[in-house]
Amino acid sequence: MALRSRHSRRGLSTIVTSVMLVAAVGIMGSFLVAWSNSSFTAQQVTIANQTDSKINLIRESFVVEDVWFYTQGVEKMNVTLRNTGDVAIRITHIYINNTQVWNAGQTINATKVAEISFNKDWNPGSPQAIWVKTQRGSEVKQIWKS
Amino acid sequence: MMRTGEKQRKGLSTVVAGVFMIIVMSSAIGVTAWTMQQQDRVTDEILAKTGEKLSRLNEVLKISEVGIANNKLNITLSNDGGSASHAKAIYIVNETAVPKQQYNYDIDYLVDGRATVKNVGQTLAFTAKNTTSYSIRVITESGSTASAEYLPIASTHIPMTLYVIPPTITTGENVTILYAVTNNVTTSNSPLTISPKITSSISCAGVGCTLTKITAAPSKVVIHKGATVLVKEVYRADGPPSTTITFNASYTGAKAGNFVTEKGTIIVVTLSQSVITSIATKPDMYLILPGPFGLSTQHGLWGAVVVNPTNSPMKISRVLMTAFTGSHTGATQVVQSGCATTAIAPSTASEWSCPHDNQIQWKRLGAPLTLSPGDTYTFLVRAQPKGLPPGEEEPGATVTATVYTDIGVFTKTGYTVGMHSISEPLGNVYMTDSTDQGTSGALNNAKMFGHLNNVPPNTNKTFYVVFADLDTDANTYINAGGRLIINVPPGFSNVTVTFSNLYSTPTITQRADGITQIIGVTTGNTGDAAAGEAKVIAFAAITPSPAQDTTYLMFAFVDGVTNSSPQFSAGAIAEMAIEIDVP
Repeated sequence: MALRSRHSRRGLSTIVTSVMLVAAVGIMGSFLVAWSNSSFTAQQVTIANQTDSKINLIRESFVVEDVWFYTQGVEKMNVTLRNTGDVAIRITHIYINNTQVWNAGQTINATKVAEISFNKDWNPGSPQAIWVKTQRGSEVKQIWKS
Repeated sequence: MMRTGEKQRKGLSTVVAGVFMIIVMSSAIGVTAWTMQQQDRVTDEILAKTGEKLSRLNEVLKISEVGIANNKLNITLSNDGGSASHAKAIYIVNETAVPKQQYNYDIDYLVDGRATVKNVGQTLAFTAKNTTSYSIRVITESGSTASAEYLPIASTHIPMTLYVIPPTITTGENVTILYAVTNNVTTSNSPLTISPKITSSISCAGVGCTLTKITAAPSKVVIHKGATVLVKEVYRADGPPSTTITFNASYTGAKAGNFVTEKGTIIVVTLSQSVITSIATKPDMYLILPGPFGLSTQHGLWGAVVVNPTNSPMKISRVLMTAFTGSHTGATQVVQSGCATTAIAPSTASEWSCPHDNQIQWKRLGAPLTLSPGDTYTFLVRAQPKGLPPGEEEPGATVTATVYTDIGVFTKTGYTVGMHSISEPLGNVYMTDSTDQGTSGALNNAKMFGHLNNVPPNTNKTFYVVFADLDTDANTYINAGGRLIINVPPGFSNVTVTFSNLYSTPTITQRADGITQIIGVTTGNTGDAAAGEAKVIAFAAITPSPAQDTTYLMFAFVDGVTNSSPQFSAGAIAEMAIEIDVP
């Protein structure tokens, strides 16, 4: 009996230990699964956003349709932009000869045209480098003669 | 048992951990696959974008023509590419205005690949002037651009040259003006359309001083880029020597000072120019000669057909027909000095004579015969042959004809007449005006002709050609089987023989040179009748339709032998003129 009792106490502790071990493994596993799911989901959202941004950037397309130099009290320029892509674009910056002349921002829907006017001195017959940038990062550079 | 149970519990936690690991790994693999799909989306978009760019490269829109119609721009768009092009906007800049003014309009023209769209601009609310320069730019939906310029001819100096041909002008003759204009406009590919404007003036005035335009320049001429066009006008100039004719050429709406002037001078005809323009300044002459001109007391028919091809009246004062033989005896007399003649045309007997042996002459020095421009006159006379020394024959005495006119003396040679020292018939060929072959018809002097004037063009006309023995000696004749050959000149069509009762059915042959040849073969002897004998072939033909009055030459001759012993050649000829008068 004494021997059996000693054996019984040892069996109980073993069981308890095993249960605790399994429980610990379960808890850690659950935590790991929860954490990995959360991490993967966050990563998916990030990748999805980046992919959509890249795709939209690729789908962006526009041309400088016309640049008209004129004087209306002061010397001015009128830049006409045509959205030739199939997503709306937002023009954020216009540079003339590497100098920013406009940054008011203007959205142009797909296939539409927008005129952007601003004051800018120009010399007749001179080349004018027109640089237009969008919010997504597309840009067009052209040289027009004033 | 205890050892065994311990081992089983350790395995349970491992299994649980493995399950969790599988779950985590599955998620990781799923995320990786999804990420690759996202990369595929980006790749697909890049491919689509590249396709669009390639498609844009296949769109080659250009403005192929710019004009102004109905006070509107009239633009032609051409797409030389394979992809359709959708024109969406047009920008028009008035380059003449100060400062320049720009107008832009939305348009909507779909130009298919390798297709053209015309009349672009006709519906725009933009009024264009043909005196203003415009630059035009068309934008497509994909952002391609086509541009062109419209330059009014009033603002462009166009190179031009004027030629006066000949620069020295013979009075009464035509002078041709050639106006050369070159489209050297480099700013446009469009053809240049001009309305030529050629003016002329003559420095003299009064009677006999005229400058008449015969052929006018076309009202509009289209000149393609880089090409030169010659515009022609023809004038007729009449005036005294040293008269100056001034021609000025330009075009309607030309830039100020863009014209060209050239002058021509009327001069007296000099020898060298007479040679150069011989066709226009000397009369044409053709002969009617007997063959044989056989010994007879009868008279054979001689004729000189004179044509005035100039545009001025021509006065004729003398006509000579002279025969030359190669006989060494000096006794060969085709006609004898003072020979007997029968005047036919002109009919005044005293005007005809044989001033010496071998020469027949018509002369009217005091009142020359006037031949109107383009008209023809046949000097016809019947003359008595003289003869040859016994035993001789002269089958080819050379005949020379000379005509004296108020524009010079002209001679033609190269004809022959044949004689025999024994009696021979008087073979002749000429025209008459009916199928009457008797003494009131073809044998009547008044019915013998060498030409026809005032024949209408493009008309079915009947002509009568005679092969005759004009002597009344029944013992001299041309044997049956003699051929009358008529060469109907080119331009006469639908030739049909309508009368030939003394010939076997004549043959009609269309020759490669345009001549229609009629050959009639006599079925009986010609001239074995006591009253002489004439054999008529009548034929009908549609006369030509020349642009101006034109004289045609019909050549007829006889090919036969006489009944004499030894036999002699029958080779009468007639060159007969037919003048077609254009109404």
